[in-house]
Amino acid sequence: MVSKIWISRWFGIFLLLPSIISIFFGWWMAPTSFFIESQEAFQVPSTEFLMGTDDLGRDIFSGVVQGLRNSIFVSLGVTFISYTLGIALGIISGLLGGITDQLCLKFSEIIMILPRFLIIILATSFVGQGILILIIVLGLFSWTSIYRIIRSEILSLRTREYILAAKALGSNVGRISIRHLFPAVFPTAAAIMPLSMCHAIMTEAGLSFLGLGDPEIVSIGYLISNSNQFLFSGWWIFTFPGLLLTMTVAGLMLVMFKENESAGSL
Amino acid sequence: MGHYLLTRISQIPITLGIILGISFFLIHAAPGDPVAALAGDFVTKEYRDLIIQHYGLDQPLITQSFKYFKNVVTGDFGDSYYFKAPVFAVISTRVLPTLLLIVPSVVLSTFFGIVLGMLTVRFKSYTIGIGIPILATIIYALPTFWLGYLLILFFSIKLNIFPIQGMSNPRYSLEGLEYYIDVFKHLALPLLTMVLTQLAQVVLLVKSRLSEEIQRPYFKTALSKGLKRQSAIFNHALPNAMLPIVTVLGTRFGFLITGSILTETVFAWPGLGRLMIIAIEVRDYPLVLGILFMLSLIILILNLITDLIYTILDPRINFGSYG
Repeated sequence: MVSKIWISRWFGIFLLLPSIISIFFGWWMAPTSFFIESQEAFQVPSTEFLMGTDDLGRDIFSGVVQGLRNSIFVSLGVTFISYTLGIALGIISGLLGGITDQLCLKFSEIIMILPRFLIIILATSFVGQGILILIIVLGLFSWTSIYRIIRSEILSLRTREYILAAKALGSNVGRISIRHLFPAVFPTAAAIMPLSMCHAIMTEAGLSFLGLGDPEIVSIGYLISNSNQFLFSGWWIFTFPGLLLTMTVAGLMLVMFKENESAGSL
Repeated sequence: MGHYLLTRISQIPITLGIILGISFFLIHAAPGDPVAALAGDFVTKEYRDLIIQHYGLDQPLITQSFKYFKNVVTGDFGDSYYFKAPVFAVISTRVLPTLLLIVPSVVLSTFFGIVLGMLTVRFKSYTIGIGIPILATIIYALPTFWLGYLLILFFSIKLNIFPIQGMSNPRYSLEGLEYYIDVFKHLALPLLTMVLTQLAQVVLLVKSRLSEEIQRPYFKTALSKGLKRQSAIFNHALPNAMLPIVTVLGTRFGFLITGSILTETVFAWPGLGRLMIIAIEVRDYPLVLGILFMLSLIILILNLITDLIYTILDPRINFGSYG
């Protein structure tokens, strides 16, 4: 029998296909911006409009393609910032120990007790609604879990022979971190990256659903919040954005499944 | 135990202080004009100055924050700009609806999550072993607000058994038992939304921990001494798996805030989360901070309860070390 894990993974890759296609072929499939209201309103899905049009005559298909692409873009940006911070602080904290370690640890504890979604809502609604601000704020508040994982890895690595040997050969802290420790902890970090991307995607969708996202950028959350008046009259306006967002997030999580371990464990 | 409890309780005000402090500076350092919320968009220069002076908005941030924290310590959160009433009075009617969503959803999702998680491990079936985790992952991946609309579409519009929005029917003034039945009907869908999103996570967590535990030698011993698989899981594997489960469940409470804000928005549920969005839209600083305080307090108390359960479950914790 096929291993359960590979069934999950292949199913995950299958669910991810729409967003992968959107990233690479989006410019060709949906060349015009979603916000251009050139079509007729309330068109049922057809060969011309694959997912129909909404109340203002905007093409849902373009919206979904561009929305998925932006979701992935946001999640990659957030993951890049939070992982850079988390891995760097984790290595420094674990390797140097002492007062630096204690300071970093306390700092991460403070960030962890903040109600993240509320702080992000405050920051984006009071500082500004741009997508870059959203990415930076989300990134700045998402590094704590990866920091803790990396730190505990480093604590067990720092007394290994090859690190001691590197020290004895006169390597400084920077060289040990970059040449020896970073490659050793990178697989751990990469393994849970999809989960961080999921959280970023869901937070961004939630924010734009509440009307706190970037108003100039298509977001799946915006598409769904816009569709709620048409639950009766236009099922396509409501169905497709949510369905594809769910597929993307579920796909990312299933790809990450490990033997005897699942998304819930983090 | 008493010492431990005291230490943990005394940490709550400090945590709340840090949360309020960071939020205070975040809100006040950012651009945005509360005067518009106070006096409308078209104001004369004199009236504007009067308002700024009255609320002390022209003073330096440090002075403002000292004044604010001094008042908070005495239990005064100031007046809401928008509702023109004390923040505490505005918030107090909103606390119960939010608690009605949060507390039952935590209890129900934890209970059914553990039961369902155990069942997936209990049956050695290939289909269940692969099907339940995939199903749970998909449910977990459903955006909270979209799930809310799906439930409305199915239960309210198609089957017409639950109302779409609100907390009670405004057309009748019901009393006594009838009122509670009405509120319960309105509660059903938002509660289901919150239970489902959490349930999926608990199922996945319990399943992964239990399948680790049943690989251990003690479980094989339990089976070989003649215990049924079911009772071996319940009596031997589950107690061992519970500790990590409770730890992770504690960290999930932060997401409850997200869940309640989104759910309350979808179902027009008159709770704190929805009030928060209104307060942010009108730049009502004192109200925003007041709601933040209240929501954080709810989460911190839930965390405290989880920690207490953890200490009861774990016989290794020695309370003397905290004294």
